[in-house]
Amino acid sequence: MEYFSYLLPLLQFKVLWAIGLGTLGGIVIGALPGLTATMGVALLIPMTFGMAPIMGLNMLIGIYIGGIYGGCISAILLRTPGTPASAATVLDGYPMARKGEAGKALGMATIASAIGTLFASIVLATLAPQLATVALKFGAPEYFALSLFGLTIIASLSGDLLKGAIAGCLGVLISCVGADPISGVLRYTFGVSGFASGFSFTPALIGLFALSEVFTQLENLGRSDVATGKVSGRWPTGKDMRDSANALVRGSIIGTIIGIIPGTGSGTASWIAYNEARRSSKTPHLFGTGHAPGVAATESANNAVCAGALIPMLALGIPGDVVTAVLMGGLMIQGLAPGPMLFQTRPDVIVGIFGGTFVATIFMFIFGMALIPLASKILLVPRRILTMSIVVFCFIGSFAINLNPVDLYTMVGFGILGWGMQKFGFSQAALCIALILGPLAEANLRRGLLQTGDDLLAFVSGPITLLFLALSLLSLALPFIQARRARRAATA
Amino acid sequence: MNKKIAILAGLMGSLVATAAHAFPDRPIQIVVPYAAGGSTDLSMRLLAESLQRHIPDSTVIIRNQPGGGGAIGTSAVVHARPDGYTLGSGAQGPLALLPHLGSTDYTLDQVDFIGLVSRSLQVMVACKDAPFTDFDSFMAYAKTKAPQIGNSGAGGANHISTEAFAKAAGIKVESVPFGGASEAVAACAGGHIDAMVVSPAEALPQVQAGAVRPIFVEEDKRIDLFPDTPTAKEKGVDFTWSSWKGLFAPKGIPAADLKVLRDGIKAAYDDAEFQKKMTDMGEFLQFEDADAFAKRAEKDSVTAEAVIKDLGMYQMNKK
Amino acid sequence: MARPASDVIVGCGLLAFSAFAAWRSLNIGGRSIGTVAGPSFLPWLMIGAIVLLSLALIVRSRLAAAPASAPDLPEAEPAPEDGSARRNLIRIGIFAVLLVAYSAAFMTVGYLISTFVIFVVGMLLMGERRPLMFLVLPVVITGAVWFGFTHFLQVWLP
Repeated sequence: MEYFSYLLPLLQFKVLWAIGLGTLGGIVIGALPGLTATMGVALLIPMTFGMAPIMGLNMLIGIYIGGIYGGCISAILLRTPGTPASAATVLDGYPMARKGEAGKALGMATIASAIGTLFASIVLATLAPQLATVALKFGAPEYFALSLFGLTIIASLSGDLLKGAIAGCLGVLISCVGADPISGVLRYTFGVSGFASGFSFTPALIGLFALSEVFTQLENLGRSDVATGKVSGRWPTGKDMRDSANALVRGSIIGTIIGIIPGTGSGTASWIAYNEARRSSKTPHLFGTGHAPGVAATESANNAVCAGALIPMLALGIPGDVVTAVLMGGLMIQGLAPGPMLFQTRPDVIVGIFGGTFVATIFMFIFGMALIPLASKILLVPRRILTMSIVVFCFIGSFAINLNPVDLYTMVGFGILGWGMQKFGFSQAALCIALILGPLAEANLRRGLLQTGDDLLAFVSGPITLLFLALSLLSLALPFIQARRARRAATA
Repeated sequence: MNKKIAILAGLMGSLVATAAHAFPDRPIQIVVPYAAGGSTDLSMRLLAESLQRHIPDSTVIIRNQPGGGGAIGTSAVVHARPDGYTLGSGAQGPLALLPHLGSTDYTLDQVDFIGLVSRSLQVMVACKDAPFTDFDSFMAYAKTKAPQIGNSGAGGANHISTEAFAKAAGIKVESVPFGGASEAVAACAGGHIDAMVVSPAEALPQVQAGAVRPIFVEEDKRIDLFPDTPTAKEKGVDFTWSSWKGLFAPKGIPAADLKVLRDGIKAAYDDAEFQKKMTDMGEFLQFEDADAFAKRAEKDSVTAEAVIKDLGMYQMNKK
Repeated sequence: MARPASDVIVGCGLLAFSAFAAWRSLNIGGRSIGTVAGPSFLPWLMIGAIVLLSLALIVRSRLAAAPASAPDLPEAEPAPEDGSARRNLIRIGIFAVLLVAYSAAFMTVGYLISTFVIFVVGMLLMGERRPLMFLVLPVVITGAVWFGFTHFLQVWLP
């Protein structure tokens, strides 16, 4: 079994050390808002110049996996998504922390992240070349149908359908700010050159979720509903795990699939997974109130994306998301061009990377579990200091991502908007989903129209397109069906 | 009041004079106008590392300021204090192209070039299932129907250069913009577009896998990576295009400091380790001093201006 | 659906916003090449949708208000202690202005000074009155954060 002999280099102490260090560093970077896994990987690439491929690349993969996981820590404890991938984790993670179940929420997130990554890694190691071709099937109509399906989640997530729809449309409109993806014309920039790329996504999310919460706390100042400083144990109960099994399975599968499709990414995956878990749950009304399966779904999905995105990158030389694009740069520097040829010329590298994702996942689980008691101590910090520290971190994070001062105004603006939306019952989640998927939908709709010469038929043909369109219709109709069923059950 | 200013100016003058000998006495920042991890970013990180070794007592750090197709970071450099501590990664799009679209607050005249260390060569490839496989069949097809050619962003270097080729060859193309090169490569390998322009390093794995075929090279001579692929020139279309990786500075840096930087980049370029890593990454190494670099930039800018006018995009973002 | 009155206000606000967005959309330049869907296609679609949905929101709340009339209101505002609510609203206003000022100062004044000032003012605003808390801690936190970001994470701060 020469296959297994390729795994031996992984067992060297210095390689394990590098992976462990990478994973730990990734968790820290991920937990800090504004510092993303992408930046972490990019910053460390120069360090890997002198390392053997197995060591250098797996260190980068450790950062990637740790970084996507780390985002959940601040999302759960502080309602500040550390990375955009964790925005959906806020929905149930933060209420859990408020209920005094911060430890359990973090524990569930850690377990879910590990399961998601492991699942996708197994898929990566066994089916990569076969599945990778799925990535090539996606043309403009397929992407448009996928984004449309994603947008229909708003219908079931927003509570008040009308207000959710308004928030969604507003989000799509806001995402139009900046250079038009097809013609390059600037829209709504008011002559401010800093807005040439539109509102930056990360600062917008930080404002929408974290800063708006600061405003809400200010508003409630002097009232006695102080969040409990209590932190539960870190292991979820057997019942929690049984409740979450369904969410974990769905999250892992959805994350892996979305990961394979280039240009979508973990933000999309976690929202779809959250919605699917909620839709198929026996107790959908508990979602959003601090329900462990909600955390399980989003975290298993966004981490499954990590290993999922490696599939087209390794097998086809096409990165599945931004981080893997950077990782590909790391491979190229080593003189290794990813693609089908790499499987034949350097099986040791490929197998080493497969093995590395497993090792990194194990490290992530151990570090994550060990860090929980420490991280939860944040909640014991006096309220005022914590609030002001969050404000400072919001600013640094928003600035660090692009070093663009205009992003600071973006963040404050979205903070006020988010607070207003919360106050008047508009769903922040709906706006967030629209911000993620609006640009994907627009670019692909117009690219498709351009390519086909305004032929709308192209958007309703092809098996993948039809599948997603059918899912969209289902997802739109479901809230009504469920409502009717509930009403019937109530009257009966 | 005037006296005070005069004294102050004198003081500053002497400070600058003494500082000139000590340059650099604090970290030099190279602003990369793209996100961390791209090929420009990685090349600049390698260059920074090499510069550090060849400019005595220097620290060179990279600052990523992405956005606006590179305009935001480039603008920050152009308007930075001209003291030699803020340099820019000289990229073609933001310097030679975007000013013509009217979306920048600077022009090419506002910069001093330091040196060019490498060029990104361009290869036109036929995508999967394209109705042509080589230069001749491509041209024959283009005479009957405009081929759909993907690019990495509307108004970017990739887009304008394709249109410039079409102009030179006297054919019509339909440009299909994508959000970045890797999205376009994915669409190309999947057969959703007919052709696209990529760097040889990006093209190689796809060519080896048989997903795409190289049609022609936008150089004067054939290149080592694809020795069997003709150049546009030998096929009778007088067209070459490549994008740049080099350094520029805001205008007005003290001459002595500028010399330190220009000598530094030459030494950094000659560094064996730098050359090896750049080659491994698939970069095409070529040194050009400030004057040659400036001429190249000027030439590309003129070509781009004409194409952008033809496309009706000239100054479209001027408010 | 508990607050018909505020929904009407929000709906009207959205209509006003749509009018503004529509006015700005007229300014979008550029031509569309080879397709009906130009740069302003999606914005117009969205503006249209927001107008329709806002009208629906207003109509719905009017309809809801008619039979149920006023008594809904107190339920919406769980703590109607008017004085403190208003004071907190003012506080939020001040805080928002403060944050905009912070945004402006971040680049021009630099991170260290602007962050320290904002931290102190923020603490005072939230009712902290112990000098140890609102003076010493901000120094420590501001400094520690600066050190961590610039030295360990290589983030450039002005």
